[in-house]
Amino acid sequence: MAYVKGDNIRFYNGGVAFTLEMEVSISASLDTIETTDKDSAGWKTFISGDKGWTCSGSANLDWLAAENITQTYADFVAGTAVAIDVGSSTNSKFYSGNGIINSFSFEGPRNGLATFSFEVQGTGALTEGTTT
Amino acid sequence: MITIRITKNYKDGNRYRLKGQEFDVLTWKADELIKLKVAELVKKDIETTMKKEDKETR
Repeated sequence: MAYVKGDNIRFYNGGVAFTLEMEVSISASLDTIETTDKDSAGWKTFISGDKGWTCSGSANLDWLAAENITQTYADFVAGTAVAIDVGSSTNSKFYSGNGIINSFSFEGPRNGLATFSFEVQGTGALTEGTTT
Repeated sequence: MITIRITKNYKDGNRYRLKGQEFDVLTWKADELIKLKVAELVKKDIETTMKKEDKETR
């Protein structure tokens, strides 16, 4: 058994690691199409439909970093798909795909660090690989 | 994990990379930038290196 620390899972945009990253998560879903009819013997039945995925993350703010708020905002404004990878370079496992940054928020709390967060709507397949 | 250092100012998509900047990248990105002669390798994670060597031995 080999545990993986969440700290080792990083978000890469265009191959570049996010600086001061705090959280990252990927959520994938599969539509199910109901096929229940009178022949289903009282139990609902389904077949699988389309799959989709989203990714979200947050980081402490750094105006000077190579990959942080400025670059994420530029992608958000451009509206073009970005190549993202989420995974652990230590364990060589990654989830990769293209996505559009469709949400961006920036917070500056009193007596706290400025942070920002974003969401990516995946477009096309999310693949598991060993990209390093 | 691979750390690279930018050796020449250049524009990467909608990002400006400035000479002297250091950041962590995936292998393919490091290869791309080094090939473009705008970055140099600073540090390669030991485990990544070991895995690569292991692959080469097979």
